[in-house]
Amino acid sequence: MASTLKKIILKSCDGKILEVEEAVAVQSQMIKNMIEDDCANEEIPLPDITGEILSMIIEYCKMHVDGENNSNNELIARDADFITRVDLNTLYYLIVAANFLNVKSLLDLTCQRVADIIKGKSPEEIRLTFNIKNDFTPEEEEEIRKKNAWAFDYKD
Amino acid sequence: MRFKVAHVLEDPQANSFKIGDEEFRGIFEGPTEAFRANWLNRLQDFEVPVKRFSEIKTEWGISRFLSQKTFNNAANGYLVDNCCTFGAEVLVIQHPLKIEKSVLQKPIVPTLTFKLPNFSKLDHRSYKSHVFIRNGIKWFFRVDLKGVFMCKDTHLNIDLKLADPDTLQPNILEKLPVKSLVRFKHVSKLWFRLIIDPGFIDRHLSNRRNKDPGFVKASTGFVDSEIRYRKYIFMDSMVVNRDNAIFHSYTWLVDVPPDDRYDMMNSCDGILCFQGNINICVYNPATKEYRFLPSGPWCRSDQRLGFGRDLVTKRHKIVMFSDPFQSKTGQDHLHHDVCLVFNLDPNPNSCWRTVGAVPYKINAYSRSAYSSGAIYWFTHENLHPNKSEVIIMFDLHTEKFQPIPHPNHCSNKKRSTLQLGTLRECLCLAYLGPNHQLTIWIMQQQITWDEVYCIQLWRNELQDDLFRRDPRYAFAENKDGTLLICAGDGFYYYKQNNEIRCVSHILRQCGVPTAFTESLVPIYGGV
Repeated sequence: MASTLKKIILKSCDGKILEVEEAVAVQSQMIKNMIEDDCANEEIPLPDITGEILSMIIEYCKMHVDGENNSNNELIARDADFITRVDLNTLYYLIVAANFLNVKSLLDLTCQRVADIIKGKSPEEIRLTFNIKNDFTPEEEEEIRKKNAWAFDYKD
Repeated sequence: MRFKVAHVLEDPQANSFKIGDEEFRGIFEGPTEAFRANWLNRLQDFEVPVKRFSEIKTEWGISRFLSQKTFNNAANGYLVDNCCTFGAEVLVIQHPLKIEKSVLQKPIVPTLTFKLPNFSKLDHRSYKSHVFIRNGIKWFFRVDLKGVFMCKDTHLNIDLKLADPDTLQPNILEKLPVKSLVRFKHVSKLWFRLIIDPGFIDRHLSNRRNKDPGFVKASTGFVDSEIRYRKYIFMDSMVVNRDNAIFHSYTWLVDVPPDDRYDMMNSCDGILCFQGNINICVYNPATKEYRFLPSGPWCRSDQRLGFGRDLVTKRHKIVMFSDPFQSKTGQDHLHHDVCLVFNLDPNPNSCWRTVGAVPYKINAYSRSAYSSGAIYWFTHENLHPNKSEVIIMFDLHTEKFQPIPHPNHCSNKKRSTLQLGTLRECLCLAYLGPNHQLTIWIMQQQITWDEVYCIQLWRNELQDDLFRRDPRYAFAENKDGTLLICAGDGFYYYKQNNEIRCVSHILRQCGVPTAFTESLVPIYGGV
């Protein structure tokens, strides 16, 4: 039956073309909707996703399609293996792409990974990481800090 | 034609984001009222035209397409005098929001418009409008003439986008532990507003529920301070997963009369409810927020309060029973006639409200259970005449009582061997048999009971507290399917292959355990 499998053609913003089996591509709710609307017969250009990120997403989706019959624990272990190979910068692009393509389990996985990385950080480190401006006045900040002093104990 | 519009609206009174109450409407700015009405009708044909936004879902699309042929046909009104105008409106909506059908049928006047003149001569792939500022939020339109991700060259794409690229941050923040989030309120005003937003708090809670559950055990004690005796509530919390036990112990100082004694009642959404002789207190151990409730009418301090959430108003409620005459003698004093409800809302002057007479003889001393918007109690074994009415449900929204069916096997069991609880977010019933056998049923769709566990324990570990009136153990399931039972000073895990393991002497012996998920849910008290 392999020859009858429908392929979906995806094109990254840097011009890389990837052919993906439909079963893998429909892990993306967005592509699934397009197939249902009969709009996926030609190549699908993805404006904000690079070839590198796109291949990672396809690798992830393939892993989930191939692993459908595996136990839950096995999938969790594979997810963990996949995500720990990714650095914070790449994670950001993966999140944007997973959101755009609407692959919910990957969005959950990537966001959880960022959360695990940042959970022990101080507000100052967070501002640096996400390039956020502190728009509190010193008085306002003091007021909140007084209320939540216990949360600044980094023991755990 | 794909048309996507994202709106985040602002509440003018609170001067803050109202995530979850955003509304989306996108239209083409055609030349006539008739065109607008027609476009609006099209939107309604496709999908409900007004979408609720969350910080997760910052874009809503109408995933149906118009062909370029339809678009280019001037008779259809999309392209007029070779000029295409896109419009969207930004509304300021107050919370809570109810969208009526009639609102949708009003003509929409777009507050943001973007005109593309000389449409047929445009030669770039995409065009961006200048940035609009509405309600303090930056927006821009992006038009992709050759389509973005739909069939190339046959479709055109329009997005209204937030100019601020950080809209995905809430997805990350939802996955953080409460302690980190309390600290991250300091990052910026936007983060602060996000972290206290009710919609965010609910999504955060449902994310925490997807993790392995914890247990909390609490008991009261005194510490001889320099000034006077002060009361402490000692709290042990524990999460056990895959051979890894994480254990925390807190001590919570409460400034209450030293002769008061606190018993932990139920927990719901990360809030614990304590009853003392004088006061009732609610406490969120994750945010350290607590609140003493005004004293209600007389009720016995050893009665088990009901605690849960009205899923319609999203408010938590505390339910108790009272005997207004205090006149009953003998066994009859165990039964109370009047039901009172306290709404845990921001109003500091909230008080107990009488709901009315209780039509069933409820055993207010057995442990109640909360599940999906209702609280469940047992009826009193000796006083309630109808033996087929064992479990009574109290709907927290309608505030009405009604009996529900129970598993057939339980009809003749003594109620002191039964315990209500929650598993997989359903009501469940546990029975501890004479030969140390624990059976658990789950109620599916409010109708049928399914037996999900039947476990042979080594000895009666769950019944070693001689003074209790009812079984006092708590149970929950880990995500890998392990059942955890917390009783006495230890923990038991039960795996599907009948393996039972026990971790002992890690918890305080006294006190009632409860399954617990940490949350940011506010109780409008103090810290």
